[in-house]
Amino acid sequence: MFAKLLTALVLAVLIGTAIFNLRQQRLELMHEITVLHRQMNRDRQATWDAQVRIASQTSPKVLQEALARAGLTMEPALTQHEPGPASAEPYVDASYER
Amino acid sequence: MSDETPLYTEANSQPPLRPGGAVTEVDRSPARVLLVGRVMIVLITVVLLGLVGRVVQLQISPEERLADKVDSQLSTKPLSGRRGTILDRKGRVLATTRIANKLFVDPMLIVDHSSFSEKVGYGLGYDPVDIELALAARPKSRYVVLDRRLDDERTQTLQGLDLPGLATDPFLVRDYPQGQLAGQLIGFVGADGKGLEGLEQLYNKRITATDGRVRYQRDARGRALWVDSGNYQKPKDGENLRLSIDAVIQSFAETSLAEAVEKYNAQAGQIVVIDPNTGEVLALANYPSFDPTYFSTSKPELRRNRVVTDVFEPGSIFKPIIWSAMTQLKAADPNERIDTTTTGVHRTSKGRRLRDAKPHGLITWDEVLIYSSNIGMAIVAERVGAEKLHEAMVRFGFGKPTGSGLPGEVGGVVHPLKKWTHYSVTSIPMGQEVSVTPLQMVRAFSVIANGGVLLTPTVTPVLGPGSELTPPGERVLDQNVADYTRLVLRRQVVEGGGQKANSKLYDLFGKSGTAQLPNFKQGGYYQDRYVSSYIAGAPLDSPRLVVGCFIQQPDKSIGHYGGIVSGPAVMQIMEQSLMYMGVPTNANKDAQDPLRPMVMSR
Repeated sequence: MFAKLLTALVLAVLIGTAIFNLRQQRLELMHEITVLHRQMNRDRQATWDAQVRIASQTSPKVLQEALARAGLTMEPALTQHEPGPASAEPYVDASYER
Repeated sequence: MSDETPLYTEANSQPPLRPGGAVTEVDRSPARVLLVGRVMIVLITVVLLGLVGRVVQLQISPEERLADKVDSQLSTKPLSGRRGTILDRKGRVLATTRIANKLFVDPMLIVDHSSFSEKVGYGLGYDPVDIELALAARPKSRYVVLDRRLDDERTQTLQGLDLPGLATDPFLVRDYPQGQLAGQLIGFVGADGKGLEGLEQLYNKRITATDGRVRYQRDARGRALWVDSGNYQKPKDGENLRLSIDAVIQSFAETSLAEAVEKYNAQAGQIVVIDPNTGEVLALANYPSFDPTYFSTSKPELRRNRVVTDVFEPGSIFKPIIWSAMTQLKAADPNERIDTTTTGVHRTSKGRRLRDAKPHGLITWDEVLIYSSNIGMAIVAERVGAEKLHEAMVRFGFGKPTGSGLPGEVGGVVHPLKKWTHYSVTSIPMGQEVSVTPLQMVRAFSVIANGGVLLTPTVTPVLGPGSELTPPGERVLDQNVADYTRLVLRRQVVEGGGQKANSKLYDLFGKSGTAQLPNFKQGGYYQDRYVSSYIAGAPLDSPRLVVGCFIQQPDKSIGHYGGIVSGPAVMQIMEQSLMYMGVPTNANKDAQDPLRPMVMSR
């Protein structure tokens, strides 16, 4: 009887320990999730910041100034030519006869 | 029991010897063991039940002393949702939300205010006197703000300073990384994060975020242990908004506009760049410009998007609209010669005296537009009559908002027929007695550029991500009339008043306008106040862009004709934008690759 009782008690202790262990693991995981969540939130906000910096440093005006500083100009690939006379041709649609 | 094998033999039933030889008797009878076992079971059960009961009581209704401790270890933190980002058509950021920091001090944690002020002042670049004054102003407060928005450099420096009492408080701010680019169009948000003007206001509901919250269980030192179960509410970011605006074309427009306004010492100016085939607004510039970041210190009149809120009498840039409408009505034959007099002065059938800038004599209907003859336009308009003239204006979208939906848009003024005077029929063809917004004017000119269809201008892209359905356009001109008007307007650039806008790279078609400002106090018009405008499309054979430039009150002593003041700006924007878009120039039209990117060269 005593052996049975001891066995029962030992088992109860083991089960209790296992449950406590599981609970501890759950809490540790929750803590880890919380830490990761906070880190994620910080990273997310850092990304916002980086996006603003990138946008302001690559704005058309800043790029144009950089090109000017480097002595570069944007131009078409081929050479220019003088514009010819207007290519307007008389409109000959008969519907315009009054 | 007597038949059972005895548990103890005689030999081992001897009581054990105590040290010193004393013998104690232990009752090991089965009944005794059973009794002890039962008692222990009961005791353990009672203890366990007691513990379970206590746990239940702690969970359900802990006593006040403990409840206070539990609550003090829970803290709720808001999770900020991000207001939607406003992007240009290629995904460049025009307005976005990020975290900024307030720098604050808890005076209760500072021992020596003077040395603290000096350390903070010299460390972060503030005046120590200002810091000391701020601390002295609110000695009992535990939250004295030193800087409402810490800049990036100071935020970095702060991390190296270890001063008790000095801390930052993060908060959301709206940032406009392109500065004043399209400032009046984008608008701004108030301190509460709500859009107050421009697109920020128009699309406020769509881009507004919903904040979430989280409840942390904290340890005795206040560190977050874990999220309290069931107490996490996810934040919802606002929807991003993609515009039809192209930041690069917008930048071209703003630069050219600023140069033109400053060169002619003008009061203000506006530029609209539109894709005539879709109605998408690619650039919408106002000068003087406005930076939404500093909205609180800016003058209210600078915030106004005058492209849609202000009207003006268009003057001669209105002629292509009426000219094409009258051509469609067959009021004049292209080969007909119209007598605009050799003196440059003409008296209408109602006795009104009209004058041209210079006499043209007998000219064709095309030349009436090319030389911008007021007399020629009036003669043909009298043939058409008031009713059809009015109808034409309404069909081109004048007298009502364009439907762009931009905040504050007005519809301009087209008087109802019953209010027309004897002069109206001859005034309207030369752009008087009618008021338009710059956007209306560019929209109407796009009809000529796209082959006769009136489209609704839009600031959201028609195709691709973020696009919204655009109502189908309404045909207001025959294709051949629109095409022919373009050819005549090309001659206006080459032979008429638009020669300053004659590009070497692209064939532009356009029209200049120099409208006197009406004098509302004394009646009539000012003799020295003008709106100098130019509106053009290109390339001639397949128009990709229409650009309108409107400059108010240039200094007459420097220049005031639309072709001179606004023409070069339009040409410059057109050349830069078409090259940027990869539209082949006249020189490389025949090249195999139709899309020719810009190249860099020294």
